[in-house]
Amino acid sequence: MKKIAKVALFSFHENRRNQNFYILLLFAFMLMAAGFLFSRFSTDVEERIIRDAGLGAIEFFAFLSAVFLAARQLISEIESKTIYTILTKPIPRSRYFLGRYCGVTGVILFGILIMGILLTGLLFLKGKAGSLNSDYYLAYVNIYFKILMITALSFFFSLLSTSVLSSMVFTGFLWIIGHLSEEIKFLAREASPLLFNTVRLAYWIFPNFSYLNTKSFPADAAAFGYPVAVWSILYVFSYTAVFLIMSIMIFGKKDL
Amino acid sequence: MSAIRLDRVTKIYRRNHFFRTTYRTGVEDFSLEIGDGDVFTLLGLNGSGKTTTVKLILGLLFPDRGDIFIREKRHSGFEMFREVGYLPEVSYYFPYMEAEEMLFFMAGLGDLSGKEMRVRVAAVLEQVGLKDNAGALLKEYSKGMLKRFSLAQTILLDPGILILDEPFSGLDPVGIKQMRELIEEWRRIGKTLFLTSHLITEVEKISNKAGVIHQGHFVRLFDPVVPGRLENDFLESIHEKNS
Repeated sequence: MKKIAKVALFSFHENRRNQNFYILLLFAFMLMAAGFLFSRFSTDVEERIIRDAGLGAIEFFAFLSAVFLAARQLISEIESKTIYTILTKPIPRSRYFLGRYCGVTGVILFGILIMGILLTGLLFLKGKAGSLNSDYYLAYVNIYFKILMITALSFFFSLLSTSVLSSMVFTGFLWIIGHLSEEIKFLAREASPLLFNTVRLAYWIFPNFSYLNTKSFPADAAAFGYPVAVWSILYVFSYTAVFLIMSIMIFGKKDL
Repeated sequence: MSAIRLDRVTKIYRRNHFFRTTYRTGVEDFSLEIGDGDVFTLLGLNGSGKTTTVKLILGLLFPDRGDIFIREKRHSGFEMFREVGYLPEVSYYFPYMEAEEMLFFMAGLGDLSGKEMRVRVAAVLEQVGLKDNAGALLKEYSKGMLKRFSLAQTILLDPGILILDEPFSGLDPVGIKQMRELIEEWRRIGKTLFLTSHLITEVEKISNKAGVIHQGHFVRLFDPVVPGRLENDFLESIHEKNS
């Protein structure tokens, strides 16, 4: 556990100093600022525009961070051979892997928190404290849950792919699929049995971010009657754990 | 007691294409024993299998057949790196980290206590002459400084076995002399050294044993190395294997 924490801290500092991280942060700030400016055109829904544009910018930042940091973390280390001098120190590959995962998700959380404080402060200063309800804070939790899942997936696929670019493209693809799972499943109902079953299989393999959205929460899951939060937590942690375990198994036996 | 032993090790690289898999032999049926306190150099042409051998010993590659033993214990993964230090041919490091910070991180992986870490990091930085640049980012380091940093991390945990992949590569004449002196010092204090190199004239000054690898096969052992004859012996071995 101590070694995982050491690698995570190292990874956090390394990624925090990476210029890409600040470029993404700046980009997200600009999106938030654009939302703020647009809100001036409509005083009726000003609060909603600032809040939704802000949360959207934060989620977009988190997603881009996962693409630029997570998708390339291990693969670029292997390509650049920087990993050699670390793995020739007394640390098991599994702990190194988990440390890296925690470091990347940690630095993205750091970015989400910085932007979250800014957005909350902005809403507060605008006298819109009424929008700072539990749904607002829950949105941050859900964004981070998505990051936990997509980062685990991204690490997994980066171990299988041969280039940084393909790993990044795949992460982007999974992010989009994850947001459209329910729609794709719905559309596939009209398709042939073969296609329907293929889609159903993919539905269980690919991430399904509907579990993190109260408005589009899957009806199948809702039928069980458990609170949405319980489902969300169970789904996120079990899905993430499965991909982390598979990644550790691959990484443990990978020729470097 | 042997420090490093390879017992009939074979490594085959597989590469998957769309509809076929190609195979390339890295090393085949490779056996070698290096005793405690030896300075052994593995000689070979480019692509002969030297780096594959180093990676196999370090556990960065997994053998298809055969076994590797470090101090008579079967290759036991990460625990062996308390006894083994590795100097890579080219210095690959994390550009956004400071040298001292990086060494503290590596020392932490070796489970050194806070006080031990401070003492050890200061000692190795002093030893390689980087004390005054310890706080600089590694991306700001010159090639020579990176090589020194590389040396610092190799000896950080005070390992008994040092694996040096092309240690003279990229060094100027002064650097080569300093490296040779360092290796002689390590030999004097009883460390076991495994080197790979192209510079035969340097190797024969410092090694007591040498071996030749060609096309993935271990072809000849020189025990002891006779100064002045190694270059001819090496070329002869290659010629014999080719004919």
